[in-house]
Amino acid sequence: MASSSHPPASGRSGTWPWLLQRVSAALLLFFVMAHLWIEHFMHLGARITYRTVLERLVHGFYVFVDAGLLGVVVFHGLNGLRSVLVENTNDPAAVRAVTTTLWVLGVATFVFGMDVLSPFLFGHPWFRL
Amino acid sequence: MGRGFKVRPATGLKRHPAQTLATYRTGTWAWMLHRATGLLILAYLYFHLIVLSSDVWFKGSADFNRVVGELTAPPFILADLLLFVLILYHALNGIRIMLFDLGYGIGHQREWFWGLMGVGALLMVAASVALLPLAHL
Ligand code: HEM
Repeated sequence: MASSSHPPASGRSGTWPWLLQRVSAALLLFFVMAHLWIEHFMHLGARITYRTVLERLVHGFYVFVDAGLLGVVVFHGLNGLRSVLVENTNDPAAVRAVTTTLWVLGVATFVFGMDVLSPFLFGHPWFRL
Repeated sequence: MGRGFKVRPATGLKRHPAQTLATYRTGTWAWMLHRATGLLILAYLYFHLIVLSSDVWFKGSADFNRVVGELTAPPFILADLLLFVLILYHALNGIRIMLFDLGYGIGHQREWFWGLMGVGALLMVAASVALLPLAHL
């Protein structure tokens, strides 16, 4: 178990994933703190309701925080999961299979998350069972 | 970029666990916790999205208020605070990791670790003082 904090020497687990993990982590410092502050502390004691969320999401800044957080957190979380999964693998085909699977899962998760936001952003949900 | 880290040999040979423990100590635990908290928060992310989507998908948005309103019951506030612990640990230790990657604090990793954990403890006290009085049935 090499410290995963160290850029991998060989290209297998990738310098780009390593670097992007740090870039996304830095972005998350902003997004996660903003999210927790907005939802839990900014209006202490006031209830979150459909209406308050709707009124908040009229403003581009809040849309940016919610959608930006969603995209970055999905990338960071699944890229982190990827580094755990491929850590002890040197088989390029296996690494590629993991990467592809996680990309499909990631895109699906992003769409799913945007669907949660969709009634507030577009007035009606994208999907409904 | 040596910095005293042991790098897994390119052959993929695994080191003996005892070797690893002897090398890392505080850092080993910090790293294992970083991984555990990262994976737990990722699992929570899916839970979070599913709970919020349930209104949209199954009941229509009218029930949003009821579901979100129920989340201020004491068990959920406590769960929120527990989640804050996981996120704070992961974020603060993540800052430490990135600082070392940039070359800051080498040789003082333990001091940085406990210093940042101190910051986390203060933030947790503040969050608890703010949120616990809001818990209601
Ligand atoms: C709040 C700001 C955050 C920061 C500063 C941060 C920082 C980091 C850093 C620097 C790493 C790389 C660790 C390494 O390579 O040794 C990492 C890994 C990881 N992060 Fe985060 N993170 C944050 C939020 C999150 C969130 C919200 C999630 C979950 C959705 C998450 C899930 C993960 C996972 C699963 C890993 C991989 C763990 C491993 O390789 O052992 N992180 N994080």
